[in-house]
Amino acid sequence: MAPRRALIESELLVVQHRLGKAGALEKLVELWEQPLYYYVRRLVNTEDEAKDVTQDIWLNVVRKIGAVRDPAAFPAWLYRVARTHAASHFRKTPSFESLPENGSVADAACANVNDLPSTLNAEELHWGLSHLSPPHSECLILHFLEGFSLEEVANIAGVPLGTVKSRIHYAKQALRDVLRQGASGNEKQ
Amino acid sequence: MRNSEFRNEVLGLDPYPEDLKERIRERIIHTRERPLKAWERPFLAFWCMPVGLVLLGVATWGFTRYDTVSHIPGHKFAGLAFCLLFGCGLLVFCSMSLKKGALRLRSTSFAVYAALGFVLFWICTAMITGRHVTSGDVAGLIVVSVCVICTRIESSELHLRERVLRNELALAELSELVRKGNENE
Repeated sequence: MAPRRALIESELLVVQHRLGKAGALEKLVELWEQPLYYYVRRLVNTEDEAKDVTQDIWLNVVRKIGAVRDPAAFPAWLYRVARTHAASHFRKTPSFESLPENGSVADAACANVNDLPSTLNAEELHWGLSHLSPPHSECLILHFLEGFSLEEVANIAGVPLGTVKSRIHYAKQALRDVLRQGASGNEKQ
Repeated sequence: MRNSEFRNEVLGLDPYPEDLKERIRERIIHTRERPLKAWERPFLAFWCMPVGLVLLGVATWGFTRYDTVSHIPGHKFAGLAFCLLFGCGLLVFCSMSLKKGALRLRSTSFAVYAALGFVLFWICTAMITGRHVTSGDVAGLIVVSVCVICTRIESSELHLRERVLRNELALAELSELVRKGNENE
């Protein structure tokens, strides 16, 4: 999850930016640019698209950062802005939203929404995330990597809490399948 | 829940493009520090103030000399002069802020201080010109004073929060160092 230090630093920089301290915004960009790019890269198809979308996101953030009422909520707001931009980029691509989102399955799977397999290493997770659909990878990134709560993920993705639980449930299944297929593919080679 | 090292390890597997970093900085600078328009230039705005003051002084003196407009209370002229001068001041302020790349005061704070200045100026001018200070003037002063106090409280809160966050950050850094030290041992 995002380190506690980064979250405190982020809140501090937003407060300093409000107080008009020079350089606070630049440091804020520096703090979040890499995780944000990683998130955006999983949502769009190519690196060039990710670069364009990331640039637009930051410009939007610079223009609208004054609208953030609670400085502590900046990370969630940032990812919501990023998500909105990525979604508008994909407006004509139905795959961004069309996923199985059965509420009853979500509730049943809720108990399992705790952690990814402990044996999973960084390379496997990175490879697996690159092979998942955008809504699945975004849920895993936001919840497991960035440490957002399920409610925050629902808020960022603009979907009900049940849908987030459902997506995480299916995303974990999909990740397992992708990793299994990857492993069997390697064995065949 | 994964720890921050694992997260950084995963993020590090997708290198952040250096050219993107540069492009974002350039575009942010371009957005925040756009070239000043002619009327925004500090030099021009600065000279507007004394020139405006002289012109308004002459105009006020000229108008009040003649009987035709002498029925217009002097404080209304003064109020108008204040507004215009304040506008010039605002222009200077904005120009300087734009040049520095950050607005130092938020627009609400600025409006509150402007209102306080205007009410005080209005009352002082009324007293100088012999007009009675009405209950409306006093009510306006009270309302604006409350707004100023609220603005000051908000600003103090932000400063206090900044201090608290600085301490929290220092503590987080310290605990990180301690943890790394323990791991090394």
